[in-house]
Amino acid sequence: MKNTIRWGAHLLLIHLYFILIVWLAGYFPGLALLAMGVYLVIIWQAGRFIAHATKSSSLMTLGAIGLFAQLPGLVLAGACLAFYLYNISVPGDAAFALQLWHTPFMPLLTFVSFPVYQGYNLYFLALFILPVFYVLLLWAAGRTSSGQEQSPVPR
Amino acid sequence: MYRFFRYYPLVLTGVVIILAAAIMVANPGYLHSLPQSVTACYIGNFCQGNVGTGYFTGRGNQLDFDRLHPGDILLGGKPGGAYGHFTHAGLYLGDNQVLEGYVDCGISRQPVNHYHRYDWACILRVQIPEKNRQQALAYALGQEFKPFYPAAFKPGERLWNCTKLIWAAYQRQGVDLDSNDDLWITPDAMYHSAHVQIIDQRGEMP
Repeated sequence: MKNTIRWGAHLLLIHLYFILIVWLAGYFPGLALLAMGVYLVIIWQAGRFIAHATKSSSLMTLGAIGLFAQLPGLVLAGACLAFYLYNISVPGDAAFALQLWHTPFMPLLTFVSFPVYQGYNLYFLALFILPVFYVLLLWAAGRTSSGQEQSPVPR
Repeated sequence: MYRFFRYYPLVLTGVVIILAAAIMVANPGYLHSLPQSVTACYIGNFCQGNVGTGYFTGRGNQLDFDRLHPGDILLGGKPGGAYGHFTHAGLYLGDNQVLEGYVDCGISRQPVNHYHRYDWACILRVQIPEKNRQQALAYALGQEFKPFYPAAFKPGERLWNCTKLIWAAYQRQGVDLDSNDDLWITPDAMYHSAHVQIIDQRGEMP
């Protein structure tokens, strides 16, 4: 539990930084794509490192860490679903906030942009499954970390 | 990776500072005009509790759609908007259709009649030859289905918001509708542009 919160908090903070970095990089066309690439590499390497440090590459461990890191995105996705599926009024502009939360992935989503269902665009629907993608990325990275040298993290 | 986890707040803060500085270098007058900028407007409204696009009061407006011409700009506004008096913009296509940006639909065609829901609204016509207006429309239509992103900067053609789309379409025809010369373009900046004529306006105006 302690490890989940600890590593999840690290990944959450990294995600917050990359919201700013990818957004600012967007001023220079093309640079945002590069920033997103760096972010994906960092998440991949983090998955490998965390699996090594926690001595576990199970979906349970890395999934819990990934879900903790993506908690704000999950809450916002829940708020949006409540609005779109059940017409429950949610405070603020949850859809805007959800999109801003997933800013690090926005350059990727520009490649999947076309209407798919009653005018809803695929990139928007993809926002709801990005936390799952994030967890799978962490888990896949963790699976590749077996056989690495012992982590130098002091315990 | 161990080193990264130890030093990433420092490293990533440095990257943020470098990027922000690079944007300032690309826009040398921006810091000087910061008090009049969208950023300052947003921060001011944020402090008053307004963080989004505002709320519909149900009052509506009686904007005269019969006066619309393809290429006209529709602005709508409601109380509580964080980035100005007007909170939304669309480009009239003709046949009661407007090209506009929404977070869930991206850049898409919508029926014009929803502009009657806004508490205040107006029609702007850009002072430009008809041929250029048609070219601006064609450019805007070329962006249909692309993603909406609320905080999209003016440069780039991958991410759009409702106002950037219109600004970019006319900017390619040599008309800069941004009266603030900001990093972002807002509906208010287009309302105050010297290049537009107000065709009709209803409700409270800035």
